[in-house]
Amino acid sequence: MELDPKRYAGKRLLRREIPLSTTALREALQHQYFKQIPTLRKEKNILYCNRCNATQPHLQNINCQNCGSTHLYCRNCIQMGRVSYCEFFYEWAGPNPDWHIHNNPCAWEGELTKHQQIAADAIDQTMKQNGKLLVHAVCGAGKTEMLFQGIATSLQQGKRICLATPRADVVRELLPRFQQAFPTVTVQALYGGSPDKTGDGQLILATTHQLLRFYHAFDVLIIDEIDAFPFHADPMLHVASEKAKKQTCASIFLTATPRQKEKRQIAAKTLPHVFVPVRFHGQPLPVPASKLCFGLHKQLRKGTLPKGLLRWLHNRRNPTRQVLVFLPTVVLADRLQEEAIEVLLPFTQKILPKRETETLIRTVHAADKDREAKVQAFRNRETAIILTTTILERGVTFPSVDVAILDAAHDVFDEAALVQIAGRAGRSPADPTGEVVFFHEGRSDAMDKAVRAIQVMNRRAKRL
Amino acid sequence: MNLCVGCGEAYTSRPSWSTFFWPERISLLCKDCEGSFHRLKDSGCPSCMKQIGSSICSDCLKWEKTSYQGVLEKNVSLYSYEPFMQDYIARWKYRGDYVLGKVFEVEFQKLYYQHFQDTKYEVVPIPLSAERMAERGFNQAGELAAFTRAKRKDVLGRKHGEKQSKRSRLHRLTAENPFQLLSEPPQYAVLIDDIYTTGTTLRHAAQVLQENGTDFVAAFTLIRG
Ligand SMILES: [Zn+2]
Ligand SMILES: [Zn+2]
Ligand SMILES: [Zn+2]
Repeated sequence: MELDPKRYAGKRLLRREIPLSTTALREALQHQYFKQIPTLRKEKNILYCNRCNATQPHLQNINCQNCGSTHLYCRNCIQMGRVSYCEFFYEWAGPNPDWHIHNNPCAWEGELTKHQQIAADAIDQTMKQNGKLLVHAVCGAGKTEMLFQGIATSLQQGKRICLATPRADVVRELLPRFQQAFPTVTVQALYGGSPDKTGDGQLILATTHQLLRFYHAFDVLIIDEIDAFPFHADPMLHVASEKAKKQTCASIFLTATPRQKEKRQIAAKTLPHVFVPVRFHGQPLPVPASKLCFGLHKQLRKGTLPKGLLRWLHNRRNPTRQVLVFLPTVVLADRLQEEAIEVLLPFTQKILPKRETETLIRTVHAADKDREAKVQAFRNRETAIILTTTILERGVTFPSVDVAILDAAHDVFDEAALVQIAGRAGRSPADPTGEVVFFHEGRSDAMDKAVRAIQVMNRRAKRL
Repeated sequence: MNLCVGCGEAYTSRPSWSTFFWPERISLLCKDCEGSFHRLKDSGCPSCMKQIGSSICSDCLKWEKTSYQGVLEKNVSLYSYEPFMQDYIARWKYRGDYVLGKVFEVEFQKLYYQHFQDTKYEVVPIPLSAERMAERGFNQAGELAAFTRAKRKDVLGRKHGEKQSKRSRLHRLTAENPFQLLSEPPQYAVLIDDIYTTGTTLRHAAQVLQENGTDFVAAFTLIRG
């Protein structure tokens, strides 16, 4: 019998993920193409899920009609298909797949800046040596392009590569860029609901959750936005990324806003790192301004917008830029009165004259069904002002925007979030600056830290 | 501190005297999730609980002009099918997250006895096809039937596994009855299913029972779709 190792290697699959008939699978097992692995394991009397390592209370009982008994199943990783005690994982035990050795895989012809090149060389070296590297690159440094050189080298060595990022939006944005850069390589995008599910590509772009599908699969694992929620908050994803690596594997971590843990590792020199403090267009990061608004909390609770915001909109240096307005919670976004939003209309005329008023101003939040379409409309400059929760905090790029953060002292806006949000402004070489304003009713520690962090990065950039 | 089975958030549930006697009744959901289920009002269609007007609805009148006239006495449902519920049910059934169903036990049982107090009634769950059962490992209608604690008879089976959602409504109305009788049906039957949408499935099942000697068939469902 013939089975394609590329399709099955590097995974622990549930029965329903294997498109073989019962007899074909039995035959494959007899040929020892697969070995069966229990779905749960017991260590010191504690049961663990063999896919995500979860334990109680994530393991719950099901009264299972398939085996006629009551047993545990894992709720923690159920979005990848239910792991039940009475089933097995199937792990490939057949011949190793021959990943293609590409002679000259990279078709990207752009040029890196001096600082991008330094990082690209470090990434390349790390991949060659199966090492670890933290790439600390400011928002807008052009990190994707810095990866191309190392990925090209790895492909020349016939390696298998995965880039994992927390958000499906970003995977979708990256796919065409990688397909263009590596036209002869099988590049696949995996995310919840992605058209491709097989995961047999040599270069995989995936949401971090999708790493759960893999087991000892990759020679190179790049984890984007290492500091982002959910990666830094969800232990399951760390388990998933460790399991997805082969025994020897290069790990590249990307971040614009390292957290304490990474900062400590950098200081203690336990994690090699490279720092790119300059945006690819060479201009400094916009430093947020702060505006104190008395009665801000009360106004937001009543569903109105602070006068300070309107005053700022009125006095913007470049009134034609689109505006991103961040709100701390969905509740507050929902509460905004229509009259409050209408007050913004006059400002939209300068941003997008001659547009219909309907779509000029939009609100968007995480559970919003039209989220993708609304973000796309903003990107297409069909929407002038977008009011949003933190979902647009990172990853998404708009060429020319000013940014306002209402109640910037709110808990949801930690230092990393504020730096990321500020990093939305001034992304394009054609308009490399932008205004960022924190509206608040009493400064928070995180606000001060964010401003200081941005200033430090700008100073370091200048010194280079 | 508990973790809400709906959203996974930690919450504190207030113990009361009833949770002292029945610890399993400590709510499995946080207040936000619990409040997102919408109970149906009794004021809808008296025959199917559709939440329009207070007389027999047009759907039910249509059924009276078909060969299914009179096969189903009435349908009683607990909740409406709003987006939160749609998502919740999808996670329960299609993802197979078994514990999500437990949340319905107490209220489902209470409403059952408000309508079918007499012990002459026996519950008959709508069966799953063999393929679906193999996928899921449990039948949500069977779970709901068990929640009622009423006498239960699994007397219906599926003839062939064909995905119903892929057929048009007209096709479904005229299609062959997918159910068959496995054993002696009860005299007073209450069919149990997770959702009453067009009522076709339940009427097919009711017809099989009626043709085989059942005197009374009603439907008791979690959701009126
Ligand atoms: Zn698991
Ligand atoms: Zn089982
Ligand atoms: Zn009706």
